[in-house]
Amino acid sequence: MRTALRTILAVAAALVLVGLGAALSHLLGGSLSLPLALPVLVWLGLEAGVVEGAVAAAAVGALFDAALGGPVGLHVFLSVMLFLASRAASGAFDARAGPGFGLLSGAGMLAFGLGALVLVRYVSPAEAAPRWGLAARVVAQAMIAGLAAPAVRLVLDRFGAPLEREEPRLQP
Amino acid sequence: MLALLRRYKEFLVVAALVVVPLGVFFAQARHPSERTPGDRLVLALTSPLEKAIDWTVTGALSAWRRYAALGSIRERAEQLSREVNRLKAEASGLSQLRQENERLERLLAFARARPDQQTVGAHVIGVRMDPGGLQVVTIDRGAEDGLKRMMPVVTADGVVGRVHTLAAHSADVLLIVDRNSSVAVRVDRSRARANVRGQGGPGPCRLDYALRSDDLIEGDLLVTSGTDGVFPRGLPVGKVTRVRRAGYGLYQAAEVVPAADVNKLEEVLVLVAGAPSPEHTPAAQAQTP
Repeated sequence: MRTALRTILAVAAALVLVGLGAALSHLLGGSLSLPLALPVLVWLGLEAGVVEGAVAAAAVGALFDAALGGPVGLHVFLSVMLFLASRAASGAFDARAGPGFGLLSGAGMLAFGLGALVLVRYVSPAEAAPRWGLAARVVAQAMIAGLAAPAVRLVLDRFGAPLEREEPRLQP
Repeated sequence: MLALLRRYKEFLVVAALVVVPLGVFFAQARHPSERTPGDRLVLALTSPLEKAIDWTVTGALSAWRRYAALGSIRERAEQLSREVNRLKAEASGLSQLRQENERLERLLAFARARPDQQTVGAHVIGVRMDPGGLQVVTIDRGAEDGLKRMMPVVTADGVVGRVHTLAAHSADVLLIVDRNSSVAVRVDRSRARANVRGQGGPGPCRLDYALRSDDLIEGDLLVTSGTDGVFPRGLPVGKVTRVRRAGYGLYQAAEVVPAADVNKLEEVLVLVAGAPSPEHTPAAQAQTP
């Protein structure tokens, strides 16, 4: 039950953050989309189990596919990969603290964006392929994601805390 | 087989979640499809959210800007108010300077028009026009400046009065509206002679000793005749108003509005030379006990 709730929480948070990012991007000039929802995937990598997290990440990726307008499956694949990478990286350093979480989110956004760029370039005809110059925007997005990540984590922890509570077991 | 699946369930699920989307991506990437109902659902869900966030953020920003603008406007208004007050004071000062300049220019023109008469300019520094007392003003020039009793005091408009009391650096000027003041005049138009005497207040003077047979009408300009030994001839004294001729008697009566407004004196000229010697004037002799 708690697994389903965490997935729903992740998808709902991603939905809100996608909308917030779009609205803020519009208000700030609209030249760069704000990847506020990406830290949700990192949070899943730190907090969720493998299957639970992978499913939630796939759901968030599907949301990205729909909201961001990329080729179907691209963001699902990248989201699950980022979830797995976050899960793997969390053992290497303390990614639960604010700076670590921000750093991991920034690096995740960089890998996510560059991965999308590479894949789309690979499958697109040469005349329609995205330019490598877009990588600079990916770097900017990574910085934004890294800066916004601690705040996103605070919100997710606030709403996700009840899911961490252990049910009292009956004594035999 | 089922046990194998259970054992590698996690791995299989994750692998499916990685491989299937990638396969879908490669399969569809070269043939972009129309947006699916799922896409439209997400858009339908995110659009109101974006609108709500946009409305909230825009409203909050707008309210903040208005609040900040109000503070800025209030500060600006106070600054402008101070500026307006300062400019008003400056404008008032400039207006006074301009009026003073105009008065001095007229006095200067008056003095230049009479090169045979030496003048001393003076500022009015005090006014005493008590109904029961003398009608005098105090000027900031006195005996040390060459002033003597009975010297004529004028403005560019006309006769003001004569020096009455002297101090070293100030003097009282007896105004022509004082009841002790009498100025010998002529009607500028008809050359008829008369005397202008004050009535003890800032209002009109009285015309004395104008013969019934003299040609006198309202509006006539009266100028000094020079026969009283105080005022040189030709200085404007006032204009005739309200002429009254009784059915009998030698003289006709009239009121005279002084040419110089004694209520608004600021600067005056004292005629110190070219005027008759005060010691030998009939007026001085009449006042000497």
